[in-house]
Amino acid sequence: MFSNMIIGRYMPGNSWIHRLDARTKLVLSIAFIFVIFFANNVIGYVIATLFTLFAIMLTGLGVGVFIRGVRPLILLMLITTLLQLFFVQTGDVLVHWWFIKITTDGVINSIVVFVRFMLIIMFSTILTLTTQPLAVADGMESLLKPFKKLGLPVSELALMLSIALRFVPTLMDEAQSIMNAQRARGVRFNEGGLMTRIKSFVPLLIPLFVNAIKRAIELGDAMEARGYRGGDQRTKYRVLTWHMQDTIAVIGFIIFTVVLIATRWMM
Amino acid sequence: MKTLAYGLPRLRTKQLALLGILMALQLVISRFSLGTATLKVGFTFLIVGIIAKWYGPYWGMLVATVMDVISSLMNGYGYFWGFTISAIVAAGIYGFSFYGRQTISWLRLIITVFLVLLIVNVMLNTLWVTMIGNIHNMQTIMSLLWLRIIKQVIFWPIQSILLYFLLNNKTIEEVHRKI
Repeated sequence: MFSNMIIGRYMPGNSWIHRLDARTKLVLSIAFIFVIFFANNVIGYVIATLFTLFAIMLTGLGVGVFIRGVRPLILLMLITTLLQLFFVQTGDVLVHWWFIKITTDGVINSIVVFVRFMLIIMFSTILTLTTQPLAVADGMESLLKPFKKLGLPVSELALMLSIALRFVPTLMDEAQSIMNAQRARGVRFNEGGLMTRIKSFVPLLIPLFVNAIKRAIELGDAMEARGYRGGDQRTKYRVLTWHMQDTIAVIGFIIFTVVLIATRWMM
Repeated sequence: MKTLAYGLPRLRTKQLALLGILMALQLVISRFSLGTATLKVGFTFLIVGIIAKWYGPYWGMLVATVMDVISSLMNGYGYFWGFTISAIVAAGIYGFSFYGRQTISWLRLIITVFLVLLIVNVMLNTLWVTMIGNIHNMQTIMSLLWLRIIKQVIFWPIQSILLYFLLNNKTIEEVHRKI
């Protein structure tokens, strides 16, 4: 029922990447997705792979942790890869057996699809594993600041995000104890067909929601009692600081981007 | 009724707190899934639906944006901007359909869920997968599309029924009135 992932899956450490500013990691993780689209030949993918492996090495966590992070998506990746293998019919024929025809282009395409998926997931995992969730929230708030001028309620969003991240573990425990309480009264969560299972989910959902609302009422009262009046006329206790190594990381990423764009004309 | 820009209603402290907790609930529920590896039913659409009903399309879309970025980064799924657009569109459809209604009829629900599944899960998400994989082969795209269509047809009644019982639940509505 519960997948065995810890929220955030943050791995404490003190590597070079761990010490980077959360904003740097956020921006670079998202930029990487756009940059990877510049790769359009073997050299480009090799360079992108090397860059990703280098970044993984800097985290000091080992590749095994990252491979585990990819596991939930393996099925999607395999289906897509196999479809490519069977349907791309151009290039030289390698295997021709009954109705299955595997060609060189098909194999190359499959590898490209697979590598792309892997790189995108691996690179995002770096942020997840090396940054505390609360730091991610602070980083997001800081990055959203320019949108304040456009009328976006940034401080409200940041507050909600902080509340959300703070309450995940609490609600996890709550869900677990509601499940146990219902089990003790005879609800069976992992039995029967799909419809029965879904029906058995309702006695878990309703108390979860009701408890969430009650918690929100208490929290809202407590916040107001402590003088919360909304808006952004408040000071900050947690401050993010930009260091030299963040500049180095950004410059390194820009060099990587330039090199990757350059590979487009190499073939 | 004071409003912020973009037609965002200004929220009271308790409403803000509840929205934050609902976001937490979404992160928790995204860990749950029923069924086998080939056919997994997630439950996050329930939270999106309830946020849509209580907070409307604009807050819903805003929260969906933040939630998509955070949850994809946290669950280690890898971030891709396309799925953020998917999340925004879904939240918008639910929001415009459910906002400010006391009870939500079967017909409204079935149509709304159908629209979300068709536009978001079938069309947009297939587009994103082909973009990520750089797939140009028409046959591959079509088979991906068919796989998805079959899956979503199975989900359609399941999602509709669950949403109906959650959104029209008397207990939840009663407690929510105090917010």
